[in-house]
Amino acid sequence: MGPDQFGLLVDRHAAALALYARQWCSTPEDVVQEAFLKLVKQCPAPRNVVPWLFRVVRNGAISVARSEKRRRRYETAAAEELPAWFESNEGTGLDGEAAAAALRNLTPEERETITLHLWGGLTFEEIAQVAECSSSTAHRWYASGLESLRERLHVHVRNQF
Amino acid sequence: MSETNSDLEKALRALAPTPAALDRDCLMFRAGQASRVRSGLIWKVTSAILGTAAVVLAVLLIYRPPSEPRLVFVEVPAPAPKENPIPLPPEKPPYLEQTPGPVPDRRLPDLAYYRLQQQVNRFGVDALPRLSTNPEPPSIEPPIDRVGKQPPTTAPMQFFPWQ
Repeated sequence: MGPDQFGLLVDRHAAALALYARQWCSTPEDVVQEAFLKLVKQCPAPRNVVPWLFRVVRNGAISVARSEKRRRRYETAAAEELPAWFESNEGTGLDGEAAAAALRNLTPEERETITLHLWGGLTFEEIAQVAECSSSTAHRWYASGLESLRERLHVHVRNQF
Repeated sequence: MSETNSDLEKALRALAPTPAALDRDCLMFRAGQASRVRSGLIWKVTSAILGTAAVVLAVLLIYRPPSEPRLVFVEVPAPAPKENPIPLPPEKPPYLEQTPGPVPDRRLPDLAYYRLQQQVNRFGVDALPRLSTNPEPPSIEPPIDRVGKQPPTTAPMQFFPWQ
């Protein structure tokens, strides 16, 4: 993998990977950086790079989250300083903070599936590989999570207006 | 999937995640370092294995137990006795088979005849031995040629076919 291709991967997927890692840990950038460094060390390079990156980020973020739970003092402080998940975009009609709050209230499986599909751009087969489940299960989690988001964000109310 | 959910998907997808606070240059630099480490890892591992093997062999050489003479008894079966071996005729060496036998020298004249001729030439016909009346012919020693072979005949010589 050349430096140009590596830089393109960083530019395109770093934000989505960080959003994905943010579900578990408070230091998603470190996890994403380690995932990219692991990718460089891979010989040969993985066949599907993007799902591989999401899988490595998932494992790293869960590992970091476990170590964070041991330090409860810092966990509270980190929860208070959580950065925004989304940039403010008024053109979409959705508030970023409200969307992030709604996402936090989903089950971990639903949140993970929605994040991978909407912002990671992964298909349900690739999501199944990352989350270690079947593609139908991933699709079911996605549909139920989307329904929960729709109810919490009151989209049906907005559409009616 | 319902139309409402499709609209919600579009709206959610339009939300851009917060950019990761990654130092891109630092990440690229560390990626380059990591790739260099990977390329040099083969030689490091190879040298480590060979160095370990050399140390182990040196230790084995130093603490090698002294070699002691070792006696090994091997049973050799006794050869079976031969029953009345038939002596084979000695084979002639090849050089004897190839050597031709003595060839009589045909160039020399008959020795008895030669002597008689010399005597006749020297002393005349009187030198010829007298024919005795005895029924037994005078015994003339058979001449011996140079190679020790008797002449083919000792009968009275007939020099002319009509005699």
